[in-house]
Amino acid sequence: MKPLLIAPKRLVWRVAGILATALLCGTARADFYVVVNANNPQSALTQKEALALFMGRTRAFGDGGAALTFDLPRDNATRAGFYHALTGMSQAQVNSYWSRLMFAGQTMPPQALASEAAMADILKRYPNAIGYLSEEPTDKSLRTVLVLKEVK
Amino acid sequence: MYAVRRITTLAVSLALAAMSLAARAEEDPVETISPLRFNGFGTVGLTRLSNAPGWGFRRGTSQPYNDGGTRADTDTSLGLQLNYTVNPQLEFVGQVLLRRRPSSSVPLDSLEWAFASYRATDNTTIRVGRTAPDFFLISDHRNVGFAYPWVRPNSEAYSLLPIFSTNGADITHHWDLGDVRWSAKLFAGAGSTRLSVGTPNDATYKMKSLYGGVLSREEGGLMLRATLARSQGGLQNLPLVDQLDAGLASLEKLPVPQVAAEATQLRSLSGYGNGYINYLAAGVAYEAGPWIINAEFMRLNSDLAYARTQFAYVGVARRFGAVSIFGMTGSARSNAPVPTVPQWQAQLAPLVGPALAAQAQALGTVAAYVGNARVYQRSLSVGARWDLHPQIALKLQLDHFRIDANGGANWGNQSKDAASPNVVSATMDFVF
Repeated sequence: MKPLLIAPKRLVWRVAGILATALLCGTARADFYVVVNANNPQSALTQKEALALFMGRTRAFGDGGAALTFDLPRDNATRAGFYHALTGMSQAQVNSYWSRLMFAGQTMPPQALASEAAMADILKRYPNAIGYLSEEPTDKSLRTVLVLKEVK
Repeated sequence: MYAVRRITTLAVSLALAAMSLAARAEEDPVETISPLRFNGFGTVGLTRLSNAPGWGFRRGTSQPYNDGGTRADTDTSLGLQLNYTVNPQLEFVGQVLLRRRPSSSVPLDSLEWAFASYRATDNTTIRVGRTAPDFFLISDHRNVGFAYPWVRPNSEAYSLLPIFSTNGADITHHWDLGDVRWSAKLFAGAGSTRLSVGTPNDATYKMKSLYGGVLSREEGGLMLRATLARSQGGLQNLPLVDQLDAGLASLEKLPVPQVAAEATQLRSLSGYGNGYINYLAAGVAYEAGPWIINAEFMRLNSDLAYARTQFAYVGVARRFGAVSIFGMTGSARSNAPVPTVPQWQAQLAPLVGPALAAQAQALGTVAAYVGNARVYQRSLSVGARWDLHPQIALKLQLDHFRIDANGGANWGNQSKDAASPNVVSATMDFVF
């Protein structure tokens, strides 16, 4: 029988540590912040309103003002988490949904920006823009209008 | 096979180049909103037909006849789309679809979309230009394999109809009643497409006019949809059929009541010329949680016998993580009788002589044969889709068909006998 390389007591602590980490990771939830320009009159959005904007069902805010909706690249991990939290759909399902609409000439998906930094930059510059970030913006020129909890 | 390899190589090269361009564009930081957007979709696929020697499986009648076996040109295609947004109201859209087409096709046939879209209000959109008629549930995205679980739209419903782009206009209006979204669309247009019908020259289906409307109701993941449409048109560039029709027309004038009546009936059952088609369709699409269900019923009424048909299918897919399994069954039945071979020789010989009577008999025999192209087909399909990447899906599908005598009009080089072909398909669908 091979001798144990780690003392039994230390092994127990190590296994307990791994389990605790796994448990913490399993319960931790990332948030997604739906963000607009601070000059946008919209102070809050419901999840239904956000879904309508990000899934192309409308191009206007609740008050009738035109909305310029932005997205992250189609294989981006933050995007996958955001749409899962918003719609319950996987990344491939969302892409399949959009391919049905855009290649049928109905409506285009929100324009994809290269990164969250580019997203924040655009949101600061366009008063009617709306997008999402994985961290709550601290910049005074941005306003969070909806927080979505990550769905595991 | 050389042409198939060329198409496959071209499709794969273009797809890789386009994906690389799209990836490079996404790496660059975007600082301005681009009015121009380039996207695409495609399929690389192989099909293998068995149990029907010589028959050729086709995705649609606008694909050339083939002699079966293992083929790469049934599903392989590449679509490229350019959108130019002038302002939030006005947008121009162009899309080309590269795939194997009849040999007489011209480059313009690859232009699927070319229209201006004007969003008059947030709920009303008007499109003018080249669009696809919105007959059925997935007729406007039938070429985008990534958009649905199965390898291709149901063969019974979507392969016989010459669904193609038309030049015209449509207007769509949405309105919400609580959680229910209603949508009404009116469309009108005209156009033509080339079809392979087994003659030396490709036929042209010319649709002189098309108009109709679609009403849909969406709530949660359930969409109900109804379509009413009418078209006027027919097959052209079929010299043999035209000659047969002219011959039958002259026999109608003979002072032999039985022969004249049979010639009239044969003419009505074998005609491919100008006529109307009324389309009636009802569809259900359900997509919620792990389930996708599509079901449609379509009925075509027409003064053209070959077009009098009804189709129905149900497809069900269940997702397990990145893998979906699916099953689909469909049926297509012609509603017009198959013409029978008339017995004119004995009746006409005393009147016009044996030589002319034999010619009339030959005419009737050939007309009955040419005019008996009907659809009596059922299928059962099972398969799986694996989303191995957010933009790439691999699919495997097994189709078993049951075709009754004279019922294989969807197929290339088919005989008039009953058959039970099997088709195995493996595809890779992608979007970029």
